[in-house]
Amino acid sequence: MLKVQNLTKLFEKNRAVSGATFDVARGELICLLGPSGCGKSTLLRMIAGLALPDAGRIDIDGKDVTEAQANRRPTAMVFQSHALWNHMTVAQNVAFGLRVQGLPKPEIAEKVAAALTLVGLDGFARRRPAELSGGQAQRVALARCLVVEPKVLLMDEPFSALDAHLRANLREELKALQRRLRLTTIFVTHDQEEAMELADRIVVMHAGRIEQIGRPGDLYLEPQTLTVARFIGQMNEATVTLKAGRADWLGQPVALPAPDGPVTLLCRPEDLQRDRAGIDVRVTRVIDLGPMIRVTVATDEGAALTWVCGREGQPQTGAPLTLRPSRLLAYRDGQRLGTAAPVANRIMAERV
Amino acid sequence: MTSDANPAGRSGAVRTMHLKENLAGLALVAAPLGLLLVLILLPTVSMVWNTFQVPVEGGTVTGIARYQAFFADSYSVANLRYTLIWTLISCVTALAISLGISLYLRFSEGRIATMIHALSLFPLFVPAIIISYALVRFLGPNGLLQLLLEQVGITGYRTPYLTPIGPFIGFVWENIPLPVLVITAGLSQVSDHAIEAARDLGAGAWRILFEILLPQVHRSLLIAFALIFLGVIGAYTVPYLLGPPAPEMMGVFMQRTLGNLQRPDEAQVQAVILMVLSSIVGGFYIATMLRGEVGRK
Repeated sequence: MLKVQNLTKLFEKNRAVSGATFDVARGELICLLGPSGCGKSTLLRMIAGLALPDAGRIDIDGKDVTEAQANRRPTAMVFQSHALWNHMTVAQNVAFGLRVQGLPKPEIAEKVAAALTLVGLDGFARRRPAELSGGQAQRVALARCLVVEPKVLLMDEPFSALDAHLRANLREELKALQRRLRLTTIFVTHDQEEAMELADRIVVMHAGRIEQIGRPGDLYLEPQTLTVARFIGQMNEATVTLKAGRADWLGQPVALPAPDGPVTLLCRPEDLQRDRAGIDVRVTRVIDLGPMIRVTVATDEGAALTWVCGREGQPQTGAPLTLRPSRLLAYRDGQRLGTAAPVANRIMAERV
Repeated sequence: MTSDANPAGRSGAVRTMHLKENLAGLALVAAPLGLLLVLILLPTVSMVWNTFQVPVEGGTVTGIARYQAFFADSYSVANLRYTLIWTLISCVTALAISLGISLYLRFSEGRIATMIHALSLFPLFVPAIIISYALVRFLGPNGLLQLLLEQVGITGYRTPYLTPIGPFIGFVWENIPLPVLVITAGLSQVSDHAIEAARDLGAGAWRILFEILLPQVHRSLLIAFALIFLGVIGAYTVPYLLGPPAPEMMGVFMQRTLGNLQRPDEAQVQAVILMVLSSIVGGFYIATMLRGEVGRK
């Protein structure tokens, strides 16, 4: 449906987007995820035609649209600031794209009413944007795009200015609507929770480059670069020296079949388990998150680790613990090296 | 504790505080308000009243005879018509040019845009008399323009000096800066995303201009129009130096009636008519401003 090949955008001499390549299938929802300034919005704007690329190619439905102006592309974009026109009513805002297409008035009225129903805004047609809440304004912006039946719907952090509860509700509604209408959608966000919840696949970006493309679960479990590993979810990180396939991670011996040299080992908080044959730590902070408890611990050498556990067996601040990593992701030069496995050393085996 | 136990006493204290604040506010505006009253309103009311005093044998009677005389005099009416027509033409032209410059400045950045912005504001710092003399030297007979044209073989130049086009050029030149400031400020309120959303939905440049930009800056345009109109309709220097001897703009006509012809009563009638015309546009300006204030609230 949408094919982006080697797309590059320079701002002065800086590469805002560098060699971006990915495909979006019909009816798929892709999230462009990354920190502020990583180039995700610029990439979206190039797909919309609001910015022209310095190199690369964009195809929509097999047609090259790389050089096409925004008003000649079969895309529609929802902006972060909803960008409604304050001098028009809700209905006039939604009807704008149809009037541009030159549709007859009765057909426009019919389609506008249907679009407003779709986003749950029946009875709002005569209101002005100033009379709407943030969530309602964003629904109008969505209706304004849906009504022109774009081949690709583009959304640039549309919910980021809304409060958390409303954001969660709108995400649910958007996902349901997107599935029902089989809308091909590209959604830009810096919120990984939002991306995990919405996306069929996530494109993780950093410093203008695509770091990894994958399903949400795969990105979480098998991040291919150190940047993705650090960006998605929480990690306990330490750089160690690997010698003859063995290394010591904060006192825990681990095995990794890889050439000798420095290696960064990361462990998810939920991959730490209480085990007598583990690392000696002391609890420094206990945070009750409701469904789970997040515990910060310190090793004897002073390294801080994060561990999550259930409500049962919740430790007290200052209590000694032994924690053992069950799985460690290994990286060298920012790229995935493999998965390190903990091995029992003599002292620990004796303790057990 | 005492105030909690005595709500009536507390509300009394609040009332006293509000009264003090109001009095302080009134004291602050008293001086300018007093000046306005004594130096502007009183003389105006007295002058307007005077124009309705018609001399008869043994005294005066109240009536509109002076106005009837003004409108019965074809030369006066021609001057009024000439003033109105050229004021409107100048307004529309200056507004169109200012809008063009403002649109350019809204969508451009860089050194050239900064230079154009500075140039468009330049006339603000040049007095009307200097502009007028400069235009005489440039556009007048044997002026720079004529010499340049003759250098490239174009002869038969007809100068706009002492024709209605002369003051028109002066008015337009003089009335670019303020509208540019007002319209640029209005356009800066329209977000880039609002324009991009229209482009994204297929709108071309003209549709964006007429359906997105202009409706959102219509208040700035009305204010700019009022500012130009009020400046041009009562202008004296530019039409006096660049305009034809007849018909005359009302400002020049009034000065000649008062100074050369020594007929202050007739000059007063002309002034009141001009004031009424200005008041219509002024009222329109104030209504637009107030609508904006109410809208913001």
